[in-house]
Amino acid sequence: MEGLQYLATGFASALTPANLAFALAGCVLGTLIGVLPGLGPAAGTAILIPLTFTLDATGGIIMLAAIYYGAMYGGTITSVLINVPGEAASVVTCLDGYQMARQGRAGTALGIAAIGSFVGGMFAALALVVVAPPLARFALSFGPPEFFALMFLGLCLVTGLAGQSLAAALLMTVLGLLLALIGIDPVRGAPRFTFGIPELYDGLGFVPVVMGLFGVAEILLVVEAPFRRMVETKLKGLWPSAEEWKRSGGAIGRGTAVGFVLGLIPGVGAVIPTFMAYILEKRLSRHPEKFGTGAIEGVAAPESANNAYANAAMIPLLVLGVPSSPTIAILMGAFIVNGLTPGPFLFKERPDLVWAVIASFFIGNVILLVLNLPLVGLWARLLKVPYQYLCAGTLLFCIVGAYSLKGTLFDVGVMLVFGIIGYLLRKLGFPLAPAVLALILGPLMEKSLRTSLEMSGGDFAIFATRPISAVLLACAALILAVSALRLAALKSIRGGAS
Amino acid sequence: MKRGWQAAVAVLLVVFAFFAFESLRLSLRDALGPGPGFFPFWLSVAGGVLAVVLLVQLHRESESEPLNFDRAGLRGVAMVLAGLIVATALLEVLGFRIAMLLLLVYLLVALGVRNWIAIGLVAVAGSFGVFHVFSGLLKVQLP
Repeated sequence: MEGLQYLATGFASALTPANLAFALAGCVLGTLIGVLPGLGPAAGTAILIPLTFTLDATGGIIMLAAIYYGAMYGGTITSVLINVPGEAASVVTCLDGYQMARQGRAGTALGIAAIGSFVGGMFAALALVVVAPPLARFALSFGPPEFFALMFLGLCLVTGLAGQSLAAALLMTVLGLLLALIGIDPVRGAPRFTFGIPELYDGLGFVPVVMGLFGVAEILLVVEAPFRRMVETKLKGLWPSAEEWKRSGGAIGRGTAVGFVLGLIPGVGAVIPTFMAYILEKRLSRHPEKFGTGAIEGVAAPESANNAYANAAMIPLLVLGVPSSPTIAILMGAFIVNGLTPGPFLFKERPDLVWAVIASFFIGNVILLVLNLPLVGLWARLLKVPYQYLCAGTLLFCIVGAYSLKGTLFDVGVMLVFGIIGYLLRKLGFPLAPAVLALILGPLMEKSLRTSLEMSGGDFAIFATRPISAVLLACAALILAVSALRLAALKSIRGGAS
Repeated sequence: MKRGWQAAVAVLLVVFAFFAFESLRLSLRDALGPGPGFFPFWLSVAGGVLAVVLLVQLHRESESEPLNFDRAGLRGVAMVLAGLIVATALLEVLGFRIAMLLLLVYLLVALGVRNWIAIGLVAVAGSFGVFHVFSGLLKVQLP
């Protein structure tokens, strides 16, 4: 178990007082983001990136990762207490969690959600330790064609699973890729699409763009339709009864398995694992009619799946350098801001950092359990903060974050422009996830493509003659074809029904 | 909703056409292989084709439910955006503390808060307090 040896050194670094403090701060901030409706993990992580600028790379990434899974944890609280998910993955928790709260069992719902999340997160983190070293070693044999094919596959997965229209998702992907190409050409050094604006020579800043698309746009949506206030409910009896334990044990195990497996696949997103875990539990239950009326399994399974997914989704990022969701893409952006490119080479070049970050997942899960069990009442009280203060504070933080990146107003302007674009696109229902992933992968994809073509003297057959890239590209084509057929079938069903 | 989509896709089509045109001004191919214009050009072409396909699909579809724009909500959005744009323009003129103090007061009033003590406290904490944290503790340069 070489992973365990590396993990021990990772713990030595992650358990230093400074890194522990960063993990704690990240968990607290992440839970805060998750608790506050209208601010999802992607927006929260993007807004808080500037907080990590002055930290060393290890501390900064530990903190951002903690913000990410803290937000995934915290989203449950609003689902249970006000029937409004703090983030999309907690939608399904509303079904039974809110009903439990109405029956005076809010404490038990939040308790089992915290325990399920802990189990799911710890399992996925442990699996990461076992899987990462051999997978990273295998990925070290990849050349530019394989990396191009891998990133192309990642984009196809995200695109194929995004939204109701494949063409719209592909359009967003192309837009993201094009925006990523603004700046100096990475291979020849020629300026592209810069129009003589010096600030564009470094490209469009990823952080201001995602802050706009997620942070500003989300606040504008909240301003347009403010969320509901909390229903008065007493939080007591967090620990489930023996009967509830009996009903939840299997649900937590199955939810963890579903979340972990789906977390490995880029593009699945956090919503699908939670729904699948819920549906699985309902199918297996002897009393499926109780689901939706306050069944504890209906909270335990999706919450375990949610956190197992959140931790498992770090595997494609850390090992292969392929982000599987917008929030993970933002985390990848944080790596890049710190001069690091996630992927197999990072395991070779900076094992100290990688294993410290992995060790911090275990520490973060323990911190989150503590934060979410005894302190859940404190988080619930935050729901009483009027949305106006939340909106004003978040927008202020966005301006500070965008400005502090390079100390120029240009980035603040970029953030505002993308805030408006994001607001309009989300109102229309365009999927933003493919655009964000394409934005982060664009430069790496182009470099891999052009280096591959230079290797082959301009012959595209290089992608077909190398077995790994051929298989990956075939998978990508298959995914796009299946997605197109699935959407066409859905359309014809809807057409037939109307 | 359909008209909104058509407008958005038409704008994207123009963006792709612009990128394709600009890419052609860069070299698509040189002695070493693909040039700086190669990837953006073919991407723009692909984007343009997709946009046309989507426009045709939308043209064939029947009118869907109208886009849900609440007038009062939109006024709130416009007021927030106006405040953000003005505050950004004034950021380097007035300095972070004054510009953000004014922005926070404006945003809270625009969003309907009328508790002046709370507005004052939040505005001072959010401007002078945040400046102190970022400039003093995190060593981040703010104007």
